[in-house]
Amino acid sequence: MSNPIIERIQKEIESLDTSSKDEQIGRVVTVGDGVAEIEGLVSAQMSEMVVFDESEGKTLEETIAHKDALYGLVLNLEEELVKVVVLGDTARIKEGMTARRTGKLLNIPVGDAIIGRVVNPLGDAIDGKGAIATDREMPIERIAYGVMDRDSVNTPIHTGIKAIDAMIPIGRGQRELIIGDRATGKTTIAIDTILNQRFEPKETRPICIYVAVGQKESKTARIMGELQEAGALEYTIIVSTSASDPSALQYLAPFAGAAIGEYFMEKGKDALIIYDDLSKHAVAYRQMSLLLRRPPGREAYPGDIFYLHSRLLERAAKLNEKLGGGSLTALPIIETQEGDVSAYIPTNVISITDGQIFLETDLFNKGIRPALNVGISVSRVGSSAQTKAMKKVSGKIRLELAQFRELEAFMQFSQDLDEDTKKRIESGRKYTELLKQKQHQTMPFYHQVVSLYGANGGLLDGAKVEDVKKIEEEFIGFLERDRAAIVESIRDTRAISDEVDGMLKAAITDFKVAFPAFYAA
Amino acid sequence: MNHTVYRDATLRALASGTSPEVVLSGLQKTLARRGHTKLYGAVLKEVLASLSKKEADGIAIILLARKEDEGTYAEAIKAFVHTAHATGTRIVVDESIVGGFIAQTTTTKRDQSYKGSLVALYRSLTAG
Repeated sequence: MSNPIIERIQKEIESLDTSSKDEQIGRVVTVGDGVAEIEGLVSAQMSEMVVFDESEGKTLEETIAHKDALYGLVLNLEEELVKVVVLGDTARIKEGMTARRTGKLLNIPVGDAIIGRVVNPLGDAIDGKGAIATDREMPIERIAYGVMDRDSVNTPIHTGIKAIDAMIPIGRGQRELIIGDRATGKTTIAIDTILNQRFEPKETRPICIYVAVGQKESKTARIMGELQEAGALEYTIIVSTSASDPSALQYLAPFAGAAIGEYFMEKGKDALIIYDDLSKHAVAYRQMSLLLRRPPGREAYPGDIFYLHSRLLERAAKLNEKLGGGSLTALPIIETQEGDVSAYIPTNVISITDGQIFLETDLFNKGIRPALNVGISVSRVGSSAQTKAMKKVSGKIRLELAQFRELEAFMQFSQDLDEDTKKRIESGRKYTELLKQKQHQTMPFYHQVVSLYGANGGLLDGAKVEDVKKIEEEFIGFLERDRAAIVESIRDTRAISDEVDGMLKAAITDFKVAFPAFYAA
Repeated sequence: MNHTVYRDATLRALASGTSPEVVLSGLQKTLARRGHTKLYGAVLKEVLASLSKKEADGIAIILLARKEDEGTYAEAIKAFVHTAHATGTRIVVDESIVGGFIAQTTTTKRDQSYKGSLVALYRSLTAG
């Protein structure tokens, strides 16, 4: 009877390369704070992987006490030394230890099997579900696609959040920044976007990648639990580095996520990547650069801090048909301090991205959630990334809210205002109430369209502001039950035909008759 | 001007084949002309350190599990010495390598030890 373990070992022995070859080596001169200085390695390349030889002077048993080899990344090439950032426990390295070149730049193993898993930036599974069967390796650092390889962004990615999909639409292949102070709902918007993809048909559903950079492990675990509970983990990958991980791994995490996203993009699929957050990424890179003795610049950040984020975000793209038509959409997150969007890192990333979603603490505290400041949020792709149906209904809401903002200051004097102004204020308040949405309660785009159509078409006229959410809920339920053809048409055609337009107008009238309690003066 | 500039110039002159007496005499005259006579001692120490290190770098360390294996792997060791441009060899007995040999200079290494192969086998078995 054959023993599978023996067979496995025999197979490994046959495939083992035992031919003698000379390897270039160097010696560790100093090690500390996650950085090792190595003498030798005369032909080492920038960003090359080196492996530390822990076997010197140790028995076989002692050597294999650590299952994995210890790698480092070459980041400084100096005249007589090479500085290497250690991708693991620095305590395993001793002065005088040998390090050898691998001849390979840093890659991450990828494959379809990585979907639904939690990995670190080196591609190792950290969710306790065993090793991942990968079929390819993607370079972590890579030059972004050129202009001629790209196509214009013309397909929406729905976040499920009315305020964003209506007024700050995001397209597949776009970079849209989410920026705000702590605890303003930035991660919630990102996670809701992932959750909303469950309403997309499987063929067009993007693969979602959530990159946690230096986050609390409790937060990442909570996010993983929420995604799992909603069934979203089956199309999501989490690349996780915690606050206690070495700064080198935190620096690599977004690039590892981008490499995974590019794997799917090159297969002709759409991918969505969330970098949570790039402020912590900048801090990790600053720490690493200071330890490598690179000269500090403004706010002690290294001189190439802009390039760090620009080369990362440029990898998000919409490829042309010749290259498969896939896309990688990026939602980077930046945390500001006291609403200061003119600080160094926020202004850098704002200038790179194709728009930004501003979240404000004041709005959050007033109960306006998501706490979007629609006035200063923008999507530079705009209506090219909207369905025809949404384009039709979203124009008015922007105007209404813009007028409301101007008149808001007069609200305290409402006794002295003319009727027209009072009406505009009332309308603005209703639209504001309509755009409020609870956490993780995303709305598919067709429900958003009918909701906004109703608001534009007089559904809220005569109703109280406090009843707006209830009216919305009941109206959508009414349409799903009694006018299902309307919803199906919008869902399938993504447009409002003249016939559906007429049906919707009639539905609004019928609803008001069916639910008079909302409109009792 | 610090002493490393003079050190590098002296090493280049010695490497070009100029006799040491001529080089050192030239160095002293240059230092005197520029008023840097006080650097002479530091420069000589640095030159000596560089030359000693270069000589040590050229020695190939050969690790064997047993002294008797020197004959078994003599050809392979000779090939390594030639490839790595080593100027000499030093045999060290290290039982932890189990068998085979490891040959290395400061910049090049050839690992044909049993330990190296077993560790590689272990890592490939436990990786997947």
